[in-house]
Amino acid sequence: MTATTSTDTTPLRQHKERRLRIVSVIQSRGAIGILILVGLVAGLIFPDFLHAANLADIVSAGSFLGLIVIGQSLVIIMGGFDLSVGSLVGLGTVISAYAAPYGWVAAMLAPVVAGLLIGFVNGVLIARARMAPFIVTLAALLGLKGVALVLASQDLLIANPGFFTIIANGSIFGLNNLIWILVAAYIVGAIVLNCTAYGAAIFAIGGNEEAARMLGVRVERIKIITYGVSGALAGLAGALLASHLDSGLAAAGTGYELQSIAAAVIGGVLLTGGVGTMAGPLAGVILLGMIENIINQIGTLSPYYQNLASGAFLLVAVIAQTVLTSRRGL
Amino acid sequence: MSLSNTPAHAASGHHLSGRAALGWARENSVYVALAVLVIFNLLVTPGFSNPLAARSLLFEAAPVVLIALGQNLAIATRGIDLSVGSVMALASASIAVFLPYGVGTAIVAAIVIGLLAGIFNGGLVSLLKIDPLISGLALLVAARGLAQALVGGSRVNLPSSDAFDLLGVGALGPVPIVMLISLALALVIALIVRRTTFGRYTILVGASRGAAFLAGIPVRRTLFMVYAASGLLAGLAGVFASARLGAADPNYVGVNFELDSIAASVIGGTPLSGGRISIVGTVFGVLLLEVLDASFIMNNISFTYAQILKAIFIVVALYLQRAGA
Repeated sequence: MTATTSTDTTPLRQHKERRLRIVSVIQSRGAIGILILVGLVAGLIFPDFLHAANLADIVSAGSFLGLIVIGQSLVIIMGGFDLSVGSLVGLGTVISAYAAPYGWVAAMLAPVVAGLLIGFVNGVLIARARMAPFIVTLAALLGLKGVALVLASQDLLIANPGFFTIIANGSIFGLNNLIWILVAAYIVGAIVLNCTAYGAAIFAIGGNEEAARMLGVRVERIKIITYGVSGALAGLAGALLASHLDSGLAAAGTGYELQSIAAAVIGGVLLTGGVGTMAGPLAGVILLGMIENIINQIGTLSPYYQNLASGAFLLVAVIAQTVLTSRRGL
Repeated sequence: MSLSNTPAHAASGHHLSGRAALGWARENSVYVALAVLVIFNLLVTPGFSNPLAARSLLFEAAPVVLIALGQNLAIATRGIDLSVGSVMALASASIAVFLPYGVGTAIVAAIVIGLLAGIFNGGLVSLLKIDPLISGLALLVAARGLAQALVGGSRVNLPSSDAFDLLGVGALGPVPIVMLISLALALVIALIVRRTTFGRYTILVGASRGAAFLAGIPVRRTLFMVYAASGLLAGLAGVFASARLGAADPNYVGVNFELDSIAASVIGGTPLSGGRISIVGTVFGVLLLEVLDASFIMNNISFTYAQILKAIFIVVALYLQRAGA
């Protein structure tokens, strides 16, 4: 990307390079800065906002979306799109409710396996049959929501929850389990993205698919795996949501596909592919959660303003990114 | 796009007929599927042959035709307009907001608000060069939120008036007035696409943005106008849907319509890769989807099966397009 050889060391060039570096940092880490800023301002206005309990609530409520965003970010960095995740969460809760009588392991694993397989199907259609990711996963969004509704036309209460519901509702060292799971997932995600050949391949495909192929990256396989990972994470989010709610809800996760893309983009993942981190999208998730929390704190605003605020935030983030990217000359 | 396959395959006659059959299926799949579905329903579904059923189906189809027209223009430029369903809801809410100033004002205001939403989207896509997928996504979330906030999230019943009755239940023989308006607009758009420079520009921008730019085609202006037109049509569709419903309902109007409009376009033969447009096919694509819905509802089978089948239709239609490319 910065193909300039640094033999030229005139002050002007140095100045330019420094500016490029600053722009690049803003682009990839801006969300974290905005997160801190929004948090501090909200803390000044609403005294309860920065209380540990409130912050923990924001993070644990955002953990379902947060898990999906890991997969979504990987897919977007790879230059793709996964719109099926929202419906997969709903389907995941339903499968989890069906599997619950066979023990908590089945209830946790079944949605993950189902999500993985569905993700593989998406991946095969996209990578092997060369269909547009947008339309394949859109069809999956429609179809999977249908399947979930057929399986559970009304809420499925998990009759004998036991340990299964403790997974998402219990806490370790005073922090909700969901927070631990989320943090662990992001650490694993960051390691996979930054320290493995697989992560490098994702960046390579997103940067230039043909070049990656010529370098020997097995593009099709990586794509299929990545859509599988995205599906499996959506399934996991569904299992945890079922555990949290003690039931299977076909309508759960509606809108997560959009929110997950919004969180990734706000977090500095470029929609053109090839650029992104794990910390940024996590900040994006928490930022979206904070907005929801702030709107609730204001109280007089109807919750409908939350959609308006999320949409506006997504737009501002994308506009800022477009401007920053053109500055960087990408 | 489809120029590449003549000489290489002319050698083997068997292969050619297979390809020709596939090509024929691809070109005409929507008509074949619609005919099969209608015949099946006439045989199996009780009450399907009743003209009232057809009329009700056409009432449901009219707003979808409108937004599918705008969607077609956007797809032809290799873009997409995801905001259409939410813009319908925004238009619907605007009717409720402007109702105190008279029914006519409310209808005009709703259409103008749709146009403004389209202009906003077009500005983002053309001036700020934002991926239409994303600007549409943002607008999809934001416009519905705004619509819900405008009317406090609840349904507002519309008073009975001549204008709403005309749009909501009025029919000329078996064909609803709204469907006639939609078909007239489809004709207008088809003529614009075939006969005007703007129409040519739209196709060329989709076929190759770079080449269109080098050829001096006003790419930005074309994109801007395409999305503005889509917003305008979505506004009108919102008015139709509200009149049919007898209420302004931001939670119900236009939900999933963006998917239906994309599905109708793809099934009707407008490829997502841009550079082609098929208005007639799209109108039949809308009818196919509506008949599909109706055949499930009228047989008392859960509507959700229709949704699954729709998803399969989209994938198959896309696969056929891809196979021919």
